[in-house]
Amino acid sequence: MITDILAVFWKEWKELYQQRTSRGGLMTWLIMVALVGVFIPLQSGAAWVNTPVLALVWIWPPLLGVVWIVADSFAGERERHTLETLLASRLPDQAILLAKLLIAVLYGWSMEVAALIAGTITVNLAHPAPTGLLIYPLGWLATILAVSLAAIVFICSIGALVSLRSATVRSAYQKLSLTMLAVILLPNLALGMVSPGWRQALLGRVATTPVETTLWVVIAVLVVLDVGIILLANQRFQRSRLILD
Amino acid sequence: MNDHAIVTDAMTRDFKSVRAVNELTIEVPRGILFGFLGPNGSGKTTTIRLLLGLLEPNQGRAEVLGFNPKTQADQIRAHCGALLEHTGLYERLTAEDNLDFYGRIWHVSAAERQARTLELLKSLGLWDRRKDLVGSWSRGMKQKLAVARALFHRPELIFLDEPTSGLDPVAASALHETLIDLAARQGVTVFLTTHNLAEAEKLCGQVAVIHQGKLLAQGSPTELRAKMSSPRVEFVGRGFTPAAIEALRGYPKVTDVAQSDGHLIVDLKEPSETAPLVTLLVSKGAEIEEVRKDQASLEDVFLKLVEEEK
Ligand SMILES: Nc1ncnc2c1ncn2[C@@H]1O[C@H](COP(=O)(O)OP(=O)(O)OP(=O)(O)O)[C@@H](O)[C@H]1O
Ligand SMILES: [Mg+2]
Repeated sequence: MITDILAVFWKEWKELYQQRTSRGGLMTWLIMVALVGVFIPLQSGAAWVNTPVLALVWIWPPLLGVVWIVADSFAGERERHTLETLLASRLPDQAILLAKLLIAVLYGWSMEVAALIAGTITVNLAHPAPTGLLIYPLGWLATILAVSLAAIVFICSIGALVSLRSATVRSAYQKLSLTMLAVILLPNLALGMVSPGWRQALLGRVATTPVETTLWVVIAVLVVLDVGIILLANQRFQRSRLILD
Repeated sequence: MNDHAIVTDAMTRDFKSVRAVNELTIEVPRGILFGFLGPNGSGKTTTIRLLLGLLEPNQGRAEVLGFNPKTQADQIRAHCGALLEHTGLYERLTAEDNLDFYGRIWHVSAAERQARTLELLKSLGLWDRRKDLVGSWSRGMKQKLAVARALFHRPELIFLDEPTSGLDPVAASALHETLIDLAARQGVTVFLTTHNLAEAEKLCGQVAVIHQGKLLAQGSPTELRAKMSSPRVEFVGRGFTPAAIEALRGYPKVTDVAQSDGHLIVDLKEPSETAPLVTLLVSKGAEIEEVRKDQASLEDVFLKLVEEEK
C-alpha cells in the first residue's frame, strides 16, 4: 500500500514539477511564498513576529493555492483521458485517493511552513532587533501550523470529493469555489438563525476565551470534518462509476 | 474453466436505452491471440471494461483468469495489462517517466524498470526521444508507447483496444510479431479488437464477431470462412461439352454449374475435394488448365454476417 501511494505520489510530483501554467505548479508556490514570507513581513516589520494574529490572518494564500491542484486531481485525469487507464491498473482505490490528497496537502502546507520560515528571516534581516533574534512564540507557531494544516486538509478533501465526479477541471473548480463560499457563509447564517439570547451568550463566551483556546476548538472541529469527508470520498470512489463522462 | 483465460455467460450491459452488450457468451482459451471484431458501436470497448471490472454488467456473469470481475476485479487487474480506448499517457511527463510510473505501479524493481524501458523503447525506435514530453509526440508514436506500457510488467492477459490504429505498416507488422511471439513463447493471452480484418486473419487463433452487442459467430478464421462461404470451384480449360456438364450436374455434391468465358463455375453444397470432379471432367474429354478454389476472406465473412443481421 505504501509503495502504491508512493508510486502515485511520484507521478503527481513529476507532473506538478513540469507544470508551466499558472494553475498550481512551482511558480505559483514560489509567488505565494514570496508574498506571505517576504512582502507582507517587510511591510509589517517586527509586528509580523510579535503579533502572531497577523500570521494567522495570512494563512489564506496556501488555502487558495491548493484549490487548482485538488480540482485537477481526478477531473484533470478524466479530461486528459488518463483516468481510465489508471483505474485499469492494479492500484488500490485508497492508494490513488490518498496519494492525490497527500500531494495537494503537502503543496499547500509546505507553502505555509516556507512562508513562516521566510517571514522570520525577512523580519530579522530587515528590522534587526537589539535584543537578539525575533522568533514566533512557540505555542502560537504550533497553533498556526495546526490551523493551516487542518484547513488545507479540509479544502483538499472537499476538493477531491468534488473532483471525483466532475467532467472537467473547470467545472470542478467552479463547484469547489461555490462550496467554499457556502462553507464561509453557513456559520454566519447559522448564527443569524439562533435566538438572540443564545447568540449573545455564544459571542460572549468566545470573547472571554483566549484566542488560542478558540483556535484549538476550531482545529478539533476541522479534524473531525476532515476525517468524515475523507471517509466519504473513499466510499464514493467506485471505479464502475468513475469512468463515465 | 482453467484452460480458459476468459469465459462470459450471457453478459449484458445497458446504458439507458442502449443495450451495449447483449447476452454475450464467449470463451477465450489461454495463450492465444483472440480477435474481438464488430462494427463501430457494437460493444467491444464496453466488453473490455466489463471484463476489467471498470463497469458492472446488468445481467450475466464472467470469469477472467478464474476471477469474477464483480467481486475480484483487483486480482484481475493485478494480472492484466491494458491499452484502452485512449492511450492514457501523461502528456506532461516524458516517455521514460510514463513507463516508469506504470512499472512502479506493478512493483517492478528499479533495475528491471530501467532494463525494460531500454528494451522496449529501443525496439520501438523511440529510445532517442525518451526525454521528450509525450505531449509533443505524433499520434503513432504515442500509440506505440501506450502498447509498450501495456506490455511493460509482463502481464499474463493483455487487453488491446485497436492497438494498431495510427501505426505505420512497418510498426504494425513489428507489433504483430511481438504479439505472436508473446502468445507462442510465453503463453500470454491477448484479447484484441481491431477494424483491420486482414490483421485479425493473420494474427488471431480465434475471433468473435459481435454486432449491437450480440455474438454473431466465434471460431478460428478458417472455420468461420469455411462455415460462411458456400464453396465454389472454377475450372479453366477446353472441351467442356454438354455431356461433361451434364455429368457434373449429376454429381451428388454439386448444386449448380455455369459456363462463362470458357470457364466452368461449379457451386458445391459443402467444401469437398476437387480431384473427383477433375477426373470426371477429364473422362468426358475435357482438358483442364487450372482449378481455382474460391476462398472467402475473413472480411467477406464479416460483411456477410453483419449484413445478414441487419
Ligand atoms: N458511457 C456510456 N454511456 C452511454 N452509452 C455508452 C457508453 N459507453 C458506450 N455506450 C454505448 O454503447 C454502445 C457500444 O459502445 P462501445 O464503445 O463498446 O463500442 P465499440 O464496439 O468499442 O465501438 P468502436 O469500434 O467505435 O470503438 C454504443 O452504442 C455506445 O453509444
Ligand atoms: Mg471501441
